[in-house]
Amino acid sequence: MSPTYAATPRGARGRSLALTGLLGPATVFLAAVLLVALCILLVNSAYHFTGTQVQPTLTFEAYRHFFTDPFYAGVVWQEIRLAVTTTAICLVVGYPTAYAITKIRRPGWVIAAYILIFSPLLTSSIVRAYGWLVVLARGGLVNWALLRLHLVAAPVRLLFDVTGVTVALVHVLLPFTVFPILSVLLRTDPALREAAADLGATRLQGFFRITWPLSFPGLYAAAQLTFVLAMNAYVTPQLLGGGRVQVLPLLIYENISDLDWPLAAVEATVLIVLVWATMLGSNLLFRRRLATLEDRR
Amino acid sequence: MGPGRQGQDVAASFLSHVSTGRPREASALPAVELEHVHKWYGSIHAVRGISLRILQNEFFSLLGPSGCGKTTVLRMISGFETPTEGTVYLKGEVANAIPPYRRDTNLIFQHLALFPHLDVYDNIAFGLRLRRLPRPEIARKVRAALELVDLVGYDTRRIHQLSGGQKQRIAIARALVNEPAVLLLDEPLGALDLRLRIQMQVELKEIQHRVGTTFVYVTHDQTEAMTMSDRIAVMNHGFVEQIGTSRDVYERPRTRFVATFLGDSNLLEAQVESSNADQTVLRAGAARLIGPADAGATPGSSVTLCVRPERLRFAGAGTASGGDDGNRLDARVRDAIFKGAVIEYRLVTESGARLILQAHADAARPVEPGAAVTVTWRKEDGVLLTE
Amino acid sequence: MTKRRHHRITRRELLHQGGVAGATLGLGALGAAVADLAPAAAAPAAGGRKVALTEFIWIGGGQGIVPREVKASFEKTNPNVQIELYEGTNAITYPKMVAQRQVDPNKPLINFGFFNVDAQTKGELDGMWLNLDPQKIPNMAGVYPSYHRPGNTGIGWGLSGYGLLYNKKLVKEPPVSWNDLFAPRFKGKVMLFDYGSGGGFNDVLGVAYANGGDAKRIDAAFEKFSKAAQDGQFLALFTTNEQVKDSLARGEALVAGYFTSFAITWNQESPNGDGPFAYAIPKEGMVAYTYYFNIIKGSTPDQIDAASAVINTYLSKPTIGRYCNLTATIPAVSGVSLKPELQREPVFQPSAVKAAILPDWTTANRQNAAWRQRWDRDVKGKM
Repeated sequence: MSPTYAATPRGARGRSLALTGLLGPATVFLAAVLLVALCILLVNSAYHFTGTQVQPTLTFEAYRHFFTDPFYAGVVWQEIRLAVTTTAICLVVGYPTAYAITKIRRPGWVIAAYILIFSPLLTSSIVRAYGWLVVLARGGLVNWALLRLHLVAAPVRLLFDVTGVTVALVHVLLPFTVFPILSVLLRTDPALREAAADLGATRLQGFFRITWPLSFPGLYAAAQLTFVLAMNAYVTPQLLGGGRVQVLPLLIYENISDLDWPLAAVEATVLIVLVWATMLGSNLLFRRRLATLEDRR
Repeated sequence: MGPGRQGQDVAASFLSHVSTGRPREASALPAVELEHVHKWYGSIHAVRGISLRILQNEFFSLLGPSGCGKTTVLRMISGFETPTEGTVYLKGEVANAIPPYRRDTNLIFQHLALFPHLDVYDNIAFGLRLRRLPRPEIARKVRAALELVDLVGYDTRRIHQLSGGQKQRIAIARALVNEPAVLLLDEPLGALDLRLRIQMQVELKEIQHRVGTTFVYVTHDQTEAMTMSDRIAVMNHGFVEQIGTSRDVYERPRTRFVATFLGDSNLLEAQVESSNADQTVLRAGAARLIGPADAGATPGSSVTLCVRPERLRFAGAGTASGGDDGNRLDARVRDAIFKGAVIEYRLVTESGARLILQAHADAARPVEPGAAVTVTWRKEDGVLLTE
Repeated sequence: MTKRRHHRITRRELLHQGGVAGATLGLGALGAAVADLAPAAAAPAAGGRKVALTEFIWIGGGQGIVPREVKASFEKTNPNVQIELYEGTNAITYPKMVAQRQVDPNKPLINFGFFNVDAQTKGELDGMWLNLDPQKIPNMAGVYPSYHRPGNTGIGWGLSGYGLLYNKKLVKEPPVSWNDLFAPRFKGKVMLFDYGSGGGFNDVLGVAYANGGDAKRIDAAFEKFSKAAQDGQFLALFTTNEQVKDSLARGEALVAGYFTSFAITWNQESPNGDGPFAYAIPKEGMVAYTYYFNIIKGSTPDQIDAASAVINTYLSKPTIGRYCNLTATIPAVSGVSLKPELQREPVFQPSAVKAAILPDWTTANRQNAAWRQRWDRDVKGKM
């Protein structure tokens, strides 16, 4: 609420200098590491693999192989579908969860809700995957309940399939969805909703005209974060997919252990490009909407 | 930045919209009435049995220190809080259970609560759209509201592009465009710097004049309350201590709290010696003082005599003894503070009581600190506080 | 073709048969304390100069016990030597070694250690291994001849039999052939080790050899797996012990191609020692999955000296015996005494070992990357 402060040129320059000083080392470090890693990756992707060894001669056969074999297109498609489904479910579950947490009045219950939401982060994804193994198996809890409720006639395959992987990924990633939404909702001045009510808005109208548009940046950040993490998921599809869920991270791991580093590098490059393209594309798509919300204070 | 000089026309055009569908009869019904209203928050008794009536077209202030319950009262009128006990009436109808969105009141929030994701036009049109008014009518009303606050042409500005004063006016426009029966204001000027605040006080008063809506104004700033209000309710600890015009509460405070909260006061502890229809004779230590007649002053009881600093005068060569009614106190000047139009003297009497005396700065000769003086005042300038 | 009546075998018989596993009657030497081992040579390793070296050992139950004992006793008798243990799996560690060689061929990630036949052959094709010197490792003489490598690029010390695991409480008619992986009675209940984790190719090789093929004629086997995958024969592919153990125990899966030793150790781990696990040695033979000691090129002469001395310690009969007892591994060293429980196991019988399929690993390794892609596409992709 003090625009005069930022407007003075001296103040602005001093601030940007301070910012450079504070963020500089981290930025340089991260950029350098990232760039070096990317360069190594790109160089490797253009090497020749004999079947047992990598030879440093320039070729694009790994790219040709990847882009001409429909198998890889199938893998990429499966991965995108998995990530999109997971993200969508996470948002549908996560938004009401975050919203509900902001409405809890008792501090004790708020803490309990936080622990519940963030507890998956406290255990390793391997342990969580084994937990789901037990829950989702044919003789597991979910099938037991489905059978008991006569919702299914015979046990259904939840485990070792994309269903189980999706369920477990939602569980693993939900905190990453809830958190950005929650933080934006908590930053939103409750008086805005009161102002809307005062001007004649019912609860529902107030939500859709005020809370929802204002929480969009959080929703957007949550969607991006969840999508990126789902695209890069390794342990969950590995342990719960039973071989039926083939995604790029799994192929990359396999190809590295086969010493087919060029192909692994191509797959890694494709994964990075996919993720970045999604980010940039969605940023462009929502640029105007986000810009209007940026200086909201 | 000032309000529109074409004020009359604008107000006329605004009122022509405002008054549609609402006959402006001089109804005897108060706009707002509170009857024995209590509010408990858990074990905290925030509002302790308040009864008051706010008349139509009145500029009414709730004045008190923070935590006195004034904002709670406002929120009960706007519907964001429900009284634990007692009744809130809006235009004679029981309103306790009516939700905010169905009340004919609008609130200007302490931090304005303008919608950051909407531009000026959409902010102002917010309430009108919820009422599903036809588009052209909304446009006309928004324009009239922008004219009222002198911000025509700001329609597409974003909230963060506005200055503090402009935000203030948009908030006023956003509320008034709905033509509420009562406009509630919750310390809306608190965030502004002093100069802007004073300017906005004047503007608010003007706007209220033009639109004629009932204003209920919450503030902790007595100057602000006195500048704008027709009547003031002074609140403390969940009670209303006194209700009256600015002049009333300033010149005739009924309690010590009112006397001290509204400006500086000289408070002298005294015993009633005798009292009649003309005056009350008091004794404060060695001094004999004359106060105004007061039915509550029975001989022997303890009272506080309150005299405003600007009512005290130096009894000296120049002023002779006329009009002092026998009130004389010897004192020594401890300090003299130059305040522009006035000089404020800090005095201490022989019995150790501290006094403040305000004199015009153009008085013949300033009195130097350390000087022995005698102060005096007219008996009707004193107020007896029996509380 | 095996003679099952041979429950007790003499060492001579074993050698005569060209068998690979020794199961001398376990007397006395059982559980020998490694700390008592006499140093291989009187002179201190590396001429007493300070030397630090990294040893690769395997992660997992029981695998780390003997290496820690050997390290302690060796460092005690050779105070100038410091051994750092590097725990991992072949599938992850070997690529890291290749990466480190690209960075600096003279500073290998690992100086010496345990490697499986997959890594052994990769390393042979890749020039990763140093030729071992039998003069410095006299105990190499005790290793059965077929576990020596040409040029001594590594020295075999043990093997696991890769066969078929099943739940003996639920399977009335146990599997008897590699082709039972495709038996209708196990439809939807077969689990396979995923190719990438160092096992799936054993199933493919087993099926290939069982049906008259070999590493060079693998197509028919892949087609069988592909068709079965499409028909829903396989429950899932697994990548960790826990997955297959859990699925078998709960009857989710009935049969799985895997290392037979796990049926033995899992049963031992079960309460009362009677888990539901059993293994079958396919009539076409189990796949012999062999283990080697190797020294990595780029190690300094002192490191080579010390590594040779440590390997020599490992290859002593008591040490190998203890390791094999703890991990249910079949020793490739003659005259090793095993505990009675292991001696009773069919997989430890020389007949089984003799009948085992010894795949053409060199060809298999040349095709490794190609086969994996084929597996991903034709098996996983069809499931």
